[in-house]
Amino acid sequence: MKVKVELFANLREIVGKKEVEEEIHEGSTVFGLVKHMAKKYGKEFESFIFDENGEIQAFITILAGEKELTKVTSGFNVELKEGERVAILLPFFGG
Amino acid sequence: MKLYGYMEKILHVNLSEEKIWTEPLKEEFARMYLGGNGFAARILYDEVKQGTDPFDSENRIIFFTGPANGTIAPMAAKFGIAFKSPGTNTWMDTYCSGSFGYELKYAGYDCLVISGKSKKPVYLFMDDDNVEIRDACKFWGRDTFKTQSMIKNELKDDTIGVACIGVGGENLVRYACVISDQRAAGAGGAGAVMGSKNLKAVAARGTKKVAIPDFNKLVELVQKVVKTFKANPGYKVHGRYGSGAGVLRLQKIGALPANNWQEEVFDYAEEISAEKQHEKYVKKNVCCISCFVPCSKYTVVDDPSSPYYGAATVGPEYEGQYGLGTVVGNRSLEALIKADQLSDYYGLGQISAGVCIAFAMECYEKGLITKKETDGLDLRFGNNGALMEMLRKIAYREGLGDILAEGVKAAAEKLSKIVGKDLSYYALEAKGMEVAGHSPRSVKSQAVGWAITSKGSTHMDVRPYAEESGEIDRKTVVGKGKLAKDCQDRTAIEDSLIICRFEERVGGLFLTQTHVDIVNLVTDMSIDLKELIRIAERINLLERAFNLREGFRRKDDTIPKRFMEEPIPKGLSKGMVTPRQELDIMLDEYYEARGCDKRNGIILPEKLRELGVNDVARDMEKLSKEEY
Repeated sequence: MKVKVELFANLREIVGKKEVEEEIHEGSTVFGLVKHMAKKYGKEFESFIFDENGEIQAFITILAGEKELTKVTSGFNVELKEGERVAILLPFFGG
Repeated sequence: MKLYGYMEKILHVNLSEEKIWTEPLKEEFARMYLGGNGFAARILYDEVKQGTDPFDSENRIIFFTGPANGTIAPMAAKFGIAFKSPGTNTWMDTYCSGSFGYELKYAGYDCLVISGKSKKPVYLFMDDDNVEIRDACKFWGRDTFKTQSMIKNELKDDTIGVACIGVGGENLVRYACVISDQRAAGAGGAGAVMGSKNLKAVAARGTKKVAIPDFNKLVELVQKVVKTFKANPGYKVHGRYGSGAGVLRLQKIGALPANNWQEEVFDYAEEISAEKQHEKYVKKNVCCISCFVPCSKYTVVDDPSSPYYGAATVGPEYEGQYGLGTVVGNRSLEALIKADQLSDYYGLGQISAGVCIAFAMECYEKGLITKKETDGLDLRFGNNGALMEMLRKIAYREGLGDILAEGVKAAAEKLSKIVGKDLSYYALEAKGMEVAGHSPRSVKSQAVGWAITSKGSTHMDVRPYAEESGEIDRKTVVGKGKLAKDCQDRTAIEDSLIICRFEERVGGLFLTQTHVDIVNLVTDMSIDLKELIRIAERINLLERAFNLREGFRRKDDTIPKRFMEEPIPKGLSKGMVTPRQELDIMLDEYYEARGCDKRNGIILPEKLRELGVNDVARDMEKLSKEEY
C-alpha cells in the first residue's frame, strides 16, 4: 500500500523533497514506515529519528491522519491505512 | 576573600543628582541570590517602593550580568535588564545577547543600578573604573543602529558594547525595547523606562578578567555540555533553522496562533517558515559569544524586484515569526524580514507590537472600529503596508499608534470608550503583557505559566517546548502546576547565572546536577541541588512579593477569556480550550508547590522564613492581615 509522508527542516534537505510517497506492506505500522524510510534514505535520516537502542526518540512526533503519536502518549505501533497522510516532526528548541 | 565568578562591585548612578558610586558585593548576598536575576530581584524589591509609577524618577533600571558571563561557561552570552514595567506595573526582567553585557562585566561590574532622571538626553559610559554621564542630545531622535554607530564613533572604538533605545523608547511606548548590536531585550518596556530617564544608551568597555576557581574543570564541563548538546538531533535543527523551526511544527499540531488567535492554524505558514527563510534568505548562521550553536540567522532580501529589497535583519526568530507574522496574518517572508528590521530600528518589542496591531486588525475586520479610528488605514490581516505603517505610527505615537503605544490592555480600554463597545475580549494579555506565541489552549503548562509568571503572559519562565515537542503530554492538566513551579525554578537560575534558555536541552527542563556543576565551577560555592532550589525559590518569591505588594492577587493570575471560553476552531487541536476549572486545578497545584495561600496567592510567611527572607515574610504577614 502507499502512504504520503510530509517532511520538515533537515529531513526535507536529506530527502530533497517536502513530501514523498512510500510503498509499504499492508498492515505496516508507523514504526515500520519510519524504519523503512531510514533504510531507504540513509544514516543521516536515521540519526534524526532513532536513538542508539533503535527506538524513536522522545522528541519526535509523528502524525498519522488525525492521530498525534509520541513516545509518551501512544507509542508508534499504530497501523497505517492505504493512502494515509503522515508527517514526521523534528524537535523544536523554542524561541 | 575573592568571590570567584563575580566582579565584586555594584555600580550605582543617580541621573537626577549626576552622582556615581560603587558598592562592594557581599558574599552573603551572592550566596542568597546567586547573581543576575537574583540580585536584581532583591535590589528592585528594596529600592522601588510600592506604588511607584514606572516612569517616575524613583523607578530603577538595573543592567546585570551573572557569574557565568565573561567566563567560558557554556551559552553565557546574555545580559539582563530589570525594572518596574510600564506595561504591566509588575516586576520585569528581560534578556539580550548583545555585546554590552560582557563589556559591562569586563569593566568590573556585576550590576549597574540607575535611578533618577536626567534633565537632558544622556548616555553612560563605563570604561573600566572610569564612569561618565555624557551628553546624548545629538543622538536623540536617532534609530537604534545609527545611535550605536554614532556612540562608537564618538568614543573612537568599534569594539565598545552599546545598549540603546530608539524613537519608541524616547516616546515612552510602553513596550519599547533595548537594542545591543542587532539583538533585543524585548519584553516589558525597558526602552520606555530608559526614555523616561532621558537615558539614550549605556556603553561599556572592559579589560578586566573574571576569576574562576578551576579553569581545567570548567573546560571539562564545557566539553561535556557541548558533546551532549551536539548528540541531540535537535541541535542540528536549531543550528540550521533556528527557533523558527517551530512554525511548521506548531502548525502541524494545530498550535500556531493566527490572526489574533482566532485560529491556531495559519494558512500561509509554509510561506513564512524557517525552511523557506533558510532556502532563500539566510546569508549566514552565527553563534553568540561563548556559544557553539549558530542559531542567529543573518537574513537579507536581495531580490531587486522585491518591494522589500535591501531589508536585512538578524532573525526573524520564532517569536518574530509569530508577532510580526502569523498573529497579524502576514503571509510574506520578505515583509516579515522588513518588519523585524523596522521594529529593531524603532526599538519596539516585537511580540507586544504585533499583538497590539493584531487586536486592532480583528476589531477592524469585525467592524468594531472603522477607518475613522485607524486613521484611514485598511487594517485587514495580511495588509503588510498597514503593518509597516502601524509600526511607525506606534513608535512616533501618531493617531491609532498613540493608543496602541499604551499596550493592548490600555488600548482596548481607550478604544472601547471611543467606539462605545467593549473590545477587551480581543485584547490578548495577562497582567497587561501581550501574549507570546505558545498556545495556552492546547499546551496546558502554558496556561498556568502565563497566569503565574511575575511578568505576565510570557514563554520565558515556564517553558512549553517539552510539551510542544511531544516529550510531555501537552493535553493533560494534572501535574502541570507543579511542572510550572519546577520549570520556573530552573529559569530563575539560568537568568541568575546568566545562561541561554536553549541549555534546557542539556541541563533539562528542571534544575539538575548540570546546573549545580555550572554554579560550583564558576563561583566555588560548593552548593548542592537542594540549596540551588532554595536560591531559585527565593528569587521567584521575591519577584512575586514585589507584585503582591503592588496589589496583584490570585484573581490576577489568569489568562485571556478567549483561551478559557473559545475552543480552537480547526486543525489537529480542534476543540481544545482551557476552561477556568482546568486553570484553577493547575493554579492550586502551583500555589501549593510554591508556598502560597491558595485563597489569594499571597506567599506564606513561613515559606519565606524557611528560606531566610524574614523581612519579606513580615511584609507578607501585613498583606495577609489586610486581606482578612
